[in-house]
Amino acid sequence: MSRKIFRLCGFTLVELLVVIAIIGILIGLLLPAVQAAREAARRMQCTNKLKQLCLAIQNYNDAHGKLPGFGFGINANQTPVAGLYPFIELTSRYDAIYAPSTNSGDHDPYRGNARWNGIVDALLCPSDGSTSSVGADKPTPINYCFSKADYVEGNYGSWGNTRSPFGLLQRSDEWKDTDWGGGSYALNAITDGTSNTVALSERVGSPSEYGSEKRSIRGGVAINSNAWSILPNACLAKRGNGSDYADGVATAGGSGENAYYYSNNNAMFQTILPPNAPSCTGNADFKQPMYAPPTSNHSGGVNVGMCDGSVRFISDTISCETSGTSGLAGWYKYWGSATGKSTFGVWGALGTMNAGETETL
Amino acid sequence: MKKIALALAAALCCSFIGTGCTKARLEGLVPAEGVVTLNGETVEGATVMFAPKTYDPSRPKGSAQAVTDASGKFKMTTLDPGDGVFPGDYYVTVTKDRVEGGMSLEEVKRRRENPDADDEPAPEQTLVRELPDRYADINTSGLDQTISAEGNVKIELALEGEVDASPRSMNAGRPGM
Repeated sequence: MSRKIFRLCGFTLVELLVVIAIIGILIGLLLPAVQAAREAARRMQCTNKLKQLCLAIQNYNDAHGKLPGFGFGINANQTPVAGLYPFIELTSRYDAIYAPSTNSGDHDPYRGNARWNGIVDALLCPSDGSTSSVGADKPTPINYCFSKADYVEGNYGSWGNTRSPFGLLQRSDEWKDTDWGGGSYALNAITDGTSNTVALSERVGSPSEYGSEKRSIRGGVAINSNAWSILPNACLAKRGNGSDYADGVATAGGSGENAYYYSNNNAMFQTILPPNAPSCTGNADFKQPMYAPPTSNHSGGVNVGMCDGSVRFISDTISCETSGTSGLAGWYKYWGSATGKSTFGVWGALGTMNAGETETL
Repeated sequence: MKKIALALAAALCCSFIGTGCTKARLEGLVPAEGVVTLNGETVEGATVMFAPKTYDPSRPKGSAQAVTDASGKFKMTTLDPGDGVFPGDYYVTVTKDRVEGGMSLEEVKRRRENPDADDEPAPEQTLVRELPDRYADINTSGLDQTISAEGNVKIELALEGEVDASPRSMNAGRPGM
């Protein structure tokens, strides 16, 4: 009798286990959706920051009558990043970086002097790599990067890049970009149209892995494959079967290691290889020509800011041509043509500012 | 009890199938597979590149590439590993390069930590071709392929000739042809 009452009031162990298992399965089904929602939120934040930088470029052009360019500073090795700070409410940091100093090391972002260090939130896309191990005494990391169009530059752009709105400034002994008297481009140089020309995108960072191996295509770079010595397709062939470089390909980390230092791993990308493709350069110090496509941890593509201030999502499958020859051109098309229409498809055409292509998004 | 267990198993399978399947991202690709030989011997680690004879902007990507495995076989990739190529006419090039010299990761770290060492010249890096030069150039390779709508899984790239293994500088601005 008592046994029967017990039976009526409770559940058997098997029943409980079944219910728990069902709940477990339901949670298991739900979890990926939660993760996707979190990534969607991070992507939105990433887009928003990119938009702010695009608008900063517009305001910079209004204030200075020209676009920010690469290569100013006493060693001609600064990126345009610090110059944008007054336009994204980081004036105090701008003033600290360019505070008067007689110590020449203070003027050079490569020397590790304190004024060039520390995390700047506005430069980091929350999806694109951890910076938690980067201390306040380390160079400022960066995910956002400026377009170099379809042109692979040498060290410090030793071949003039006339394809991109952020082409090289000539060497200057001036310290700040605002003191610069020479010729970088203004918005009116973008004759293909500002809405058809890429300004900014993103690259997954690996700042704390400089000088170490980095197998992942996102954040890592294939070395011993100087971009002036191999075709873009040969760089694509460095990919393994997953999201890593193939076995036997030497790699290095350090992407986005120093936001202010003009080097192929920092603050620049090209519209040659499609989004999330491998990157290739010579040595792991990134001072040789490099294929640097944009990369991100968003699903299936990257955020791209156009010169008119709009932000688009560009899919990995955007029409591109990476043979470097298109069956037409000579071997100079290896690393981008100095004049004429881009030979790198729609993606390349969106990169150039003045090549006369009709491609739009 | 058995029914419950079955239902559970079915539910588990469904959830795995639901999350585990990935669809090919490009449509219209056909398989392009084959083997690379040099003077009759198979070549491992050669990069095979397909460049379309005419550029078609309506396609996501015209060109394709692959690396040969230990038995000299390759499977062309347009976007995702081994997904094939679009039907059409292609120039084909085959290269196998070995890079010598250059900077070790330790040296790179040392230079970053001592910025003054950065002014030292970078060690010379050279490129050595392990296949005859002519197969690296679309104009001289003579390996052109036409891929039909069914694809081709028996491509034979039979290379012949002497290899010029002299080291070529990679520090110069021009491609190391």
